[in-house]
This record gives sequence, structure tokens and C-alpha cells, in this order.
Amino acid sequence: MVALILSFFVFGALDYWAILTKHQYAEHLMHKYLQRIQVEGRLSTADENSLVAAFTSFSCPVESITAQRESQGQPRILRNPGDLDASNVSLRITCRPVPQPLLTGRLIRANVPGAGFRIIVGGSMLSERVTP
Amino acid sequence: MTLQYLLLGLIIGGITLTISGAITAQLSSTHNSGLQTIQQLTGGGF
Repeated sequence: MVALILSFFVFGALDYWAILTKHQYAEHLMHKYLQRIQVEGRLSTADENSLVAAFTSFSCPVESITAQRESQGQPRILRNPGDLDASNVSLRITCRPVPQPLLTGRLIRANVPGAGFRIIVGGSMLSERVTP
Repeated sequence: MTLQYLLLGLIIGGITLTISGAITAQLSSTHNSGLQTIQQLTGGGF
């Protein structure tokens, strides 16, 4: 039991650090692409592919993207100072961290997140795109 | 002498088990709380 506690002290901290770092990285990437959406009026196909590759590169493959997407044939959202709600662009990314995080809780018989654990990041801005 | 060692072993073993059990319970409680916070944080976005 003492060995399990010591193992938890060593690996538990790494587990917390890794998942919070992944979340932070996911937030940074989400903001990067949200700013591009703000300029473009939608998520371009090239940006979408780049986003998916970026998330895969830090072991958090994208599961779903909610946004105005060129790949889905959706039109650009244009700047509309008269109706700000109409010019709202948003991006929401759901990704699955690999390997499954926070399993060290088992060492001390604590809870572990289920297989459905996901990182979800998102935000919204006003479109600056003027031309369709 | 053997009986004394046996008794000493039982006492030390009992103390170790009690202390490690208490530490495990506290760690488990802290871990569960942290886990809940992380799940709320990482399940955010809007």
C-alpha cells in the first residue's frame, strides 16, 4: 500500500500536469483558428485540415468541430454592424486525449474518468469579413 | 524473544496500515475533487 501511495505521488502529478497542459494547448489553438475565422467569415477547408493535424500532433485527435465550415458548403458570415448577433462567428472543438488521462487514481482506489473523457474548447467573436 | 518480535511487528504493522489507510483516504478525496474540477474545466467552451 505504501508503494502504491508513493507511485501515486510520482505519477499522479504528471497526470494532472499533462492533461491541463493539453487543455491549455487546445485553448491556444482554438483561439488561433477562431481569429482566422473572424477574418475569413468561416473555417476554410485548409484551416480545418491544419487544425485537425495540429490537434493530432499533441495526442488529442479531434472528434468534432462546430463552426461555420467551408468543407460543409456553408457560406461566410459577414460583418454586420447593424446586427451584431448576425455577425457572430464561433468555434467549438471536441477532442479526445490519448492516452486516457488521470488513471493514476486507481492506485489509491479513487475515481477515474470514464472512456468518454473529452476536452472541449470553444469561443466566439464578431466576423470582420466584408466581402462574401 | 520471538513473541516480543511478533508483538512489535504487529504493532508497527498496524500503525503503518492505519497511517497509510488514512493517507490513502485523504489522497483519494483530494484526487476526486481535482478530477471533478478538471472535468468541468475541460468540458467547457461555449
